Amino acid sequence: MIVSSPKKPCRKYGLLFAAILSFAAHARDPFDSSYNVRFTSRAALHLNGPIDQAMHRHTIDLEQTLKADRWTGVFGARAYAESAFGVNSRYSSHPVLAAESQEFVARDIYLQYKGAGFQTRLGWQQVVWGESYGFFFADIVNPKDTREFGLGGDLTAQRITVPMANVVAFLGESTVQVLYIPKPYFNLSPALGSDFAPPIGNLFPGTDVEVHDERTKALAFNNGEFGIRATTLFAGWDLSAFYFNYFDRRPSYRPSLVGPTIVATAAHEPLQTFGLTGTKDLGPWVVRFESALTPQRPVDAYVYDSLNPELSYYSGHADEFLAVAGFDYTQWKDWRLSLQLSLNALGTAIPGAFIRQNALNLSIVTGGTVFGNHEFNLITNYANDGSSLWQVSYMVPISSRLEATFGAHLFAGGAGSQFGQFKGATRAFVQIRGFFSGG
Amino acid sequence: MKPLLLALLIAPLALATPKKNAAKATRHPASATKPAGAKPSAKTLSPAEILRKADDARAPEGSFSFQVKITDYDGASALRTNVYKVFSKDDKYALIETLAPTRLQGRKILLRGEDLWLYLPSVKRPTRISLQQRLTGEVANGDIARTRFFDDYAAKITGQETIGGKPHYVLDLHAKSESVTYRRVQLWVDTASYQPAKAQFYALSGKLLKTSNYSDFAPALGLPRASKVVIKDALAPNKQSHLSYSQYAREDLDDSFFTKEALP
Repeated sequence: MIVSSPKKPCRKYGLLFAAILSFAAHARDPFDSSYNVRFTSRAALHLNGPIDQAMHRHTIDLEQTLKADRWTGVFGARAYAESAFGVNSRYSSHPVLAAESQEFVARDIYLQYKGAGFQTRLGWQQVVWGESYGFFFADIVNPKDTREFGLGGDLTAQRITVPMANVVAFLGESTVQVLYIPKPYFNLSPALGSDFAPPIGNLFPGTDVEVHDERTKALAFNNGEFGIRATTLFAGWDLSAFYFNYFDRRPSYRPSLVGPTIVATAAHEPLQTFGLTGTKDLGPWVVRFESALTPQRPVDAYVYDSLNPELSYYSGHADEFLAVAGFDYTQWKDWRLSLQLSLNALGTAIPGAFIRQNALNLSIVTGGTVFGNHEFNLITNYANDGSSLWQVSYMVPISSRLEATFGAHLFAGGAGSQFGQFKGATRAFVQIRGFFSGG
Repeated sequence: MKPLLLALLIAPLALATPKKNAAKATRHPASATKPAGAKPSAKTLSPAEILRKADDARAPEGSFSFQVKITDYDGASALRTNVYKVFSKDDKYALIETLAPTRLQGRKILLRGEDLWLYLPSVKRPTRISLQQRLTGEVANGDIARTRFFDDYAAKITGQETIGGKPHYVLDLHAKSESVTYRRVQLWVDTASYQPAKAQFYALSGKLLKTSNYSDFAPALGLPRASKVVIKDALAPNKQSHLSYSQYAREDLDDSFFTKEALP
């Protein structure tokens, strides 16, 4: 039996929300109010093995924006209900049923003031530093919702908003941004039993495994996180350099034997990351790059220890270097083509590490308009361990407010490979989306 | 400074002569092109000044906003209609917001000089794009984001031609930098009103890419300006985009309005 104890954070948005409402009520000048509501219904079937329900989810996203002169207030929330975990017997005895069957979360909730060459934003928000597509390389500020392997919806929905102070100084064609996050939050990991669950649940056959995730740390001075980023436009190059002092968003697990159960407790160690990004429009091509160096990052590994099985799972440390180069072709009429090559290199070999020492990935993104206004998209990812992930979708606009999408996510490769380990999650889906807005 | 965004927006208009006029120009042998060396009746205006006046008939200067409705056609079939609100400042900065259809609302394109970014609400991150990439149908980002030719192109008069019974200067425009949307533009400008009638856009190879017709000049912020532009694919003339300009308004826009950080 596998047990998990997901701890959802109790987010206290009330004070900030009250401040936004108060601002709206007392604003001297008339303010503009607008809202956006989006309904998404997605149903998916497993294609690899028995054909059964992988997802049947209804999601609502709401965002209300108030603007007055130099002030902006935003309030966003999202809720979903998922029925596949209760219907499909492959999930019913696992923690995923309790952990991921429904959710209500606050999203962007912030107050912003812009003036005197500065923009100050306080509250739950997203800060994006990367330039690459698909996977989050230099996009390290916000923790991520990894429960659907990044395939469950929009990229923005995968970022978990966190409370922070975000100040940007405008200096002509340059900016300097300073972040302070008083209370760190961490990635939301898939619950044991789900399609994308961490491998630790399968490494101790015959033994109960319990995972204790850590979603946040206490509000304390020593737990504060700090980041700074400078950007400039120089000769057509959009360049940035950043430094972030934070806690690892990714958990590293520390197993221990508690009675007959192995309890894996998540840890998030303090890290520092230094990075550079850049883009340039070369006419036929737009080029992008990003790189990041993170000294002594924890990397989980597994080497079987017959005497102390719980010690088979351990965390090593290695300097991690990320480099991404992307090329977007711009001259293909209604179609687009992007190539992206990424390298994730560890400075030290860690026996049994779940991350390859030199992981190379090639992504090819293509898509375009067909039959007038239908949209076809194909994203293929190839890893240098021979595995691949194919994401294909076909969107048909039904009206100004409605669209239907048909698609599939196809995993291929060996059982222990980057994408092949999730072959069982291969699925086809259909999705209906409705968009409503007003002011 | 001249509003670059407006110029870009109007450029497609200028390039596309109204359908009727274009048809007349090609069908009637009365349309005569004088040799390139012939003295045009430019009186005291230089080619650059003519170009500037033609720009004025496409878009204002300074800080302003307008709406543009773009309908893409394949033959007689309307494929899609999008509506954008465009903010422009000094022909240097521009912000294009998608208003319709509702499902695309919130998409924005930011222009700073010759640099562009696309902001998608589903990504919440500005992504670098090119002036030369398509916005919709036959319309490139640069067609909407840069509204004036004067700053981007060097002009010379190569002759005169009659379109719709009126004499027009034929201006040959060569890009001053490689990053503009088109390397060369031919622009037909009315010798009396200085209003553009049509334009042809060429690639570096010399290949004709698009034609554009300008029509329905209506008062906007003090001057008559083209309110309709038709852009056609040179190789597939059935593929057209019809642009309708409206709701011009003066704006007081701070430079920080046109920054990546201000996009969300």
